[in-house]
Amino acid sequence: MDERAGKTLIVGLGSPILRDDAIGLRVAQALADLLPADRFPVEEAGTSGLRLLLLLEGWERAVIIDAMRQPLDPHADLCLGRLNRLSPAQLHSTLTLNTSHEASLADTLELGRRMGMALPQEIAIFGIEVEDPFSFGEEMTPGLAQCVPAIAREIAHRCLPVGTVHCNSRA
Amino acid sequence: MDKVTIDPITRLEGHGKIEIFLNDDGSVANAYFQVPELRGFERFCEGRPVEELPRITPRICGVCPDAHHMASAKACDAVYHVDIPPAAKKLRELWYNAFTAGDHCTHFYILAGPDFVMGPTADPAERNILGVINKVGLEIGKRVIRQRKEAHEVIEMLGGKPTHPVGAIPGGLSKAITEEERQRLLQIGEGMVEFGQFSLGLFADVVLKNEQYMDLVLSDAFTHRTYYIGLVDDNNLVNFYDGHVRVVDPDGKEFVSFAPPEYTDVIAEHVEPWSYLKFPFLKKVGWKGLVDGPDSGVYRAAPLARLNAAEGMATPLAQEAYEKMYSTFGTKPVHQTMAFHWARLIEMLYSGERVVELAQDPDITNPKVHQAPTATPDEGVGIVEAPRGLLIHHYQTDPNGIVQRANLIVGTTNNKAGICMSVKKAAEGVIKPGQEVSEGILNIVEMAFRAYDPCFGCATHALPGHMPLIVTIRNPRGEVIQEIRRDG
Repeated sequence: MDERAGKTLIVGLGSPILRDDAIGLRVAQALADLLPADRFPVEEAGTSGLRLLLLLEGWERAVIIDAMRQPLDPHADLCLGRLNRLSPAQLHSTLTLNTSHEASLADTLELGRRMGMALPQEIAIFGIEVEDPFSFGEEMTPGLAQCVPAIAREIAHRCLPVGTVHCNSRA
Repeated sequence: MDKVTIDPITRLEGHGKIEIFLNDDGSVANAYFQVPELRGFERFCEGRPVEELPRITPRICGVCPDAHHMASAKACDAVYHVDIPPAAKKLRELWYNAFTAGDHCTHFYILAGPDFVMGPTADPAERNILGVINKVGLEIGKRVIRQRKEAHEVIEMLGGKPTHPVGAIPGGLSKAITEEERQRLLQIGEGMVEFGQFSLGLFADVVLKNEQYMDLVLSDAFTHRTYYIGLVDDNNLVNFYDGHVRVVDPDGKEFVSFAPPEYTDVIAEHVEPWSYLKFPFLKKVGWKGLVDGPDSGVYRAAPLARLNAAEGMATPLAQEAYEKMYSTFGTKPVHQTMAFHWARLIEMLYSGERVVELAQDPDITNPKVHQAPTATPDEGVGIVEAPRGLLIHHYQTDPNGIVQRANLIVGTTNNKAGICMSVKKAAEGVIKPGQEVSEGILNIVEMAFRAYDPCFGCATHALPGHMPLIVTIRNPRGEVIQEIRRDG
């Protein structure tokens, strides 16, 4: 676990074959282009619960990015590509984190802490509003694919230390 | 009763939906369990090289990627008519059993355990894994995490990646193991056996010795006399990775036994207007609706069904536990749905024992783990026992190995009819005329389908467990008289 100390794990959640559900993966890939890999390793996963808990063990900090089908405000209209920073209480809005076959992320994190696991001191969770995470396909909704670079930059600026973003980023 | 239709908005929200229709006197007339569904996977596969499918299918969902990976690799072996080397077969089976041990452990302790340890009508805020460790002790939580972690270690060692494995390829595996790795696999297997025994002991203490729970387990509300299906070896003993498929009737007599390619002669799929998910049934018996008994083609799959369909377990400790379960109920098959939990723990012990057996096999470190396919590809069926039931992958290709047609019957789909019937019967058992439906009553209905460990991730994107759920209760005119929502 020593190789994880002092580093921030970026986790993109979703399935690469369920159209917009891949947004978390695509944004994580874009962040990989923006950030130094030795300090910000990127993982892709279509999972949650205990599997995700094990993935998070040992890292100093973590950033989790998932797709969401509903806006945080239930009365608001869905806005394709809108980025939302979520509190643990708001995770039910997301897809992968909510569609857990297992326990919720909040419960598993609490379980891990009580078990004495070394879990990230800080976990930032982002949900991105999408249109079609239910159809099989490798192409995202066109408007969403265009948002990826901007979303990645926004996440980098909102939750990562100043100076960690490459100046010569391709995103 | 009016025609029932699916509300497409609700479907897209990813909620499970139970619709309960009442008679004029307030008793239950009918109940339907619906889940959102993903469609078009078969079409998505068409036109792709078949050898890509073992890497694509695990991405359908994050719950049982190993089951899809393995069924897909086996279907590819069949498409290419290749016999994989013995060491590859043993390693695949070992990996698959380690995965099953981890998965069953998660279901029992995270999903099912809270109902029994905390009580079925306990406050939902406490009816979870945290409540369980508060009551039973931190050590349990540590052991559950260790089991999962070690299952991942095996999957990563043999499959290349812990979450979406890639190690099984047409013709075998991409790499062999070293002696050092074999020793580690043995050590992990021994730990799984020990925890399997502990878990059965816990089940005996918490459930079997509790009169109230046993009343629930044995109650008619949780009982269905159906056919049962499961994969068995040459001795008709449970096997998760390979063998032939055996079906027994509600009296436990063998109804049919068939090789994987013959599944289309035995299983057909029924379509209901209110569900996009198909209902598999036994062709020769026929679809008679959501009813049980020998004249209905409804069959059940997954742990209890596998044990019912087999004549025993292939490992000694699991066989002992198997005999204890059947002698406790006094009948075989056991029809009580709550016994799925018991059967799951027996399977968890079996998985650990099988990992140990295979890790002790001197041939398992043989470097020959791949046989290059040379035959012209055409058609193949791969079947494994996913934790949630028989999983069938069926591919047809052109002579260049490009997929022309793919058909998947996934674990939970086998149990769709059983789940619907169980939900209805549980609702009938707890919803009485003039009585308001409480959260506790909702959980008892939910327990009816939780026993199946349902996961519609392959066919849907909403995975139960603590799945977001809406229960709507309607009068005979279809008007909503009560709705209970629970977000996940």
